[in-house]
Amino acid sequence: MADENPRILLGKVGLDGHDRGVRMLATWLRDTGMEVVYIGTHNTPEAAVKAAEQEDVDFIGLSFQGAEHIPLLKMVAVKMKEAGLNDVLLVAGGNIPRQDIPVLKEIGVDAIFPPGSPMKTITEYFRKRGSRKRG
Amino acid sequence: MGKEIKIKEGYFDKAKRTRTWSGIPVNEVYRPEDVKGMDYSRELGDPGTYPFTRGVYSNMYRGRLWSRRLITGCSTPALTNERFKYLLSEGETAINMICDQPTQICLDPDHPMADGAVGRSGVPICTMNDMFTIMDGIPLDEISAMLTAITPIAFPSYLLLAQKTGVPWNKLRGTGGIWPPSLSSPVCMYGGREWHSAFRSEMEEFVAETEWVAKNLPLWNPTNYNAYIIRETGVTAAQEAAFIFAQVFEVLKTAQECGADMDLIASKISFTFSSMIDIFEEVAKFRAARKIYARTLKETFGIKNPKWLRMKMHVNTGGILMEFPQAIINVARGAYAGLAAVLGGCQSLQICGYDEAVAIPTEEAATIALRTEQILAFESGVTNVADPLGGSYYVEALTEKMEEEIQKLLDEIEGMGGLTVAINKGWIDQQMEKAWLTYQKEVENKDRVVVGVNEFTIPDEADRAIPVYHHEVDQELVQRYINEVKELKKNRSQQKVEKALDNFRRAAEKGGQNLLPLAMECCKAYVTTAEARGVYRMAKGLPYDPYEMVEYPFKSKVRPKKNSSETIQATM
Repeated sequence: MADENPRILLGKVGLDGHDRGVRMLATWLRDTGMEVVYIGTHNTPEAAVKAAEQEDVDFIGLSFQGAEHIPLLKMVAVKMKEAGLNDVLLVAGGNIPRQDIPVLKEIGVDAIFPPGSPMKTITEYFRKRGSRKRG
Repeated sequence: MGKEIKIKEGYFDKAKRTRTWSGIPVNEVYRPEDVKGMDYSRELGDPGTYPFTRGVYSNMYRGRLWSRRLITGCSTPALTNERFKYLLSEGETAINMICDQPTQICLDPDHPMADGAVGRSGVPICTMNDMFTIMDGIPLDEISAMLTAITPIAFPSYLLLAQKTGVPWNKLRGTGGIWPPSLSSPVCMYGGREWHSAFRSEMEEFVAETEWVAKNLPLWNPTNYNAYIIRETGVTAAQEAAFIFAQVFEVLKTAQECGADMDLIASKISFTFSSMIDIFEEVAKFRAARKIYARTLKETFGIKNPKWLRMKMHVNTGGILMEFPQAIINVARGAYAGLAAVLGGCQSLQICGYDEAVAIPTEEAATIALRTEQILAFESGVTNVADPLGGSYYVEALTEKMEEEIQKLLDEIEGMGGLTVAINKGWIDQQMEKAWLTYQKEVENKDRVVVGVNEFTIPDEADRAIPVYHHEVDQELVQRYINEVKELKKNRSQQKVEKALDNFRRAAEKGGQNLLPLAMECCKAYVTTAEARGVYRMAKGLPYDPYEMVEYPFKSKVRPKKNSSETIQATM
């Protein structure tokens, strides 16, 4: 159901600490009434997936800056599969070159928000996709 | 189909925003009454005299231009050396070294988490050899070097290289190397994550190290307070200055409690500030900041030598100013922000590459940034006169306003019980959150125009692709580098490594000591960044590896003391 507010995990995996974008998004989404679980920076892919499992989220949203998005998202996707999180969607944003989008889609990333994506577009995506668990 | 043409509308365009970048409302025009009662000698003073509002030197750029110092960090030490030599040959006059993410948080390139991150957004410095390679052939007695890496290996390696190349330490000129516990660091953009529990004990070490540097490297400023990173979270100009000062003042207060020679501590301080695009606001910020700094150091901390009341600064033009769409126009943004820095009296400047939004600059982007600085320095005429905007009704009124705002924030933090309390309460975070949310809302509602982002946009497919350094990274070279590190770890004398690490750890456990000589011993034994930092962490009651994925590799296993703090992440 589209009107069901989804529960979203947001944060960063890997070593990069540029978190302005993802913090801003977390605040923005909370402002619009969505539930956000913010896990901070410097997480391992495993830790992010574990948190998603424990928090029973609908989305895992990860932000990147240091050009490590492909290997890290691959690892996250593998861990998600291992954990059986089939009804959780993986979303990525940040400093991701547009030419990498097809590769990420291949990995199983549902949506990618490259630089310049307005908060409104991202909010709309989450709202439209909604909660597949609770909907 | 082309865009709709709106000639008439455009012709009658007028200034819509009547506030500064940070949101300070400003008048249509400023008049003498706006600066009425301003006491010239008390509030301004000539350039080079207290309170240094108008600049830290009497003749400013007629005496010496700012250092043209571009951020550099390629994917291996050898490539970084090549880039340095290229930029220096093109007229760069000082260097600014940025490390990759693993190095910045003190992990080795063979750490499982470093996979894919080695050499990505800066150069790896794992052992002494890396520093030697990075600086190979660059005369250390001539260059002014900025070391942004806060690792136990980087600065000590630099000192050893000086020894090796026959340069006496008292000839070394540069910035950085040792830092007190810090509100901001290159990896942590968000408030307070680097603020540790072991503040007092680390402060004692910091004081001892500063004293040692002052004695041995009189031309070196080991402590560079980074306001730039704070601004990069999206806070206002006043918050940038206030938050960094709150940190400096807290450090100075603690140093005072430790019984340090305050004039000596003050003599070794320098700053990195951001410069955004609102030229007058930035100039007002720099002027107000110098004044508050000088006044506080004199009146609150009793610094006697007027030389140490001067707030000397490197300026980095705002990274967050650089946008992704139509990236080439960032050249203009960098130029305006650079102009603001120069009008504001910077001692050193790095204009961001136009590709700043995506990567460490490519050679092309760095060259354009350097040329932009050269145009400012040699063509524009802005270097002729010290504090050229001094006396402008607007700039003087705005400087006063800025001073008021910075002081108000400082008083608020003081009222809370200091910066540590403000951080722990989450107040700093809240301030940052509020500031950037306001900014983003303004952009999305078009209350604030950002060219190419919310106005004057072009379709993605028409946008010129930016050449990105990341994509130029030769993965084979990086892999070869990682293999070399692994080989080195195997082939060095394990006994020497262990002994050096033991001594380093014991001294850190004891606390309050200058660790630099022992860190140099570690370097000589080819101890790596992660090993030295790891035993330091253990000494402070933290696990050897912040991710607890790597075990302390030596037999003399020391059980880490129970960590009393909740902020393990803080001490990465």
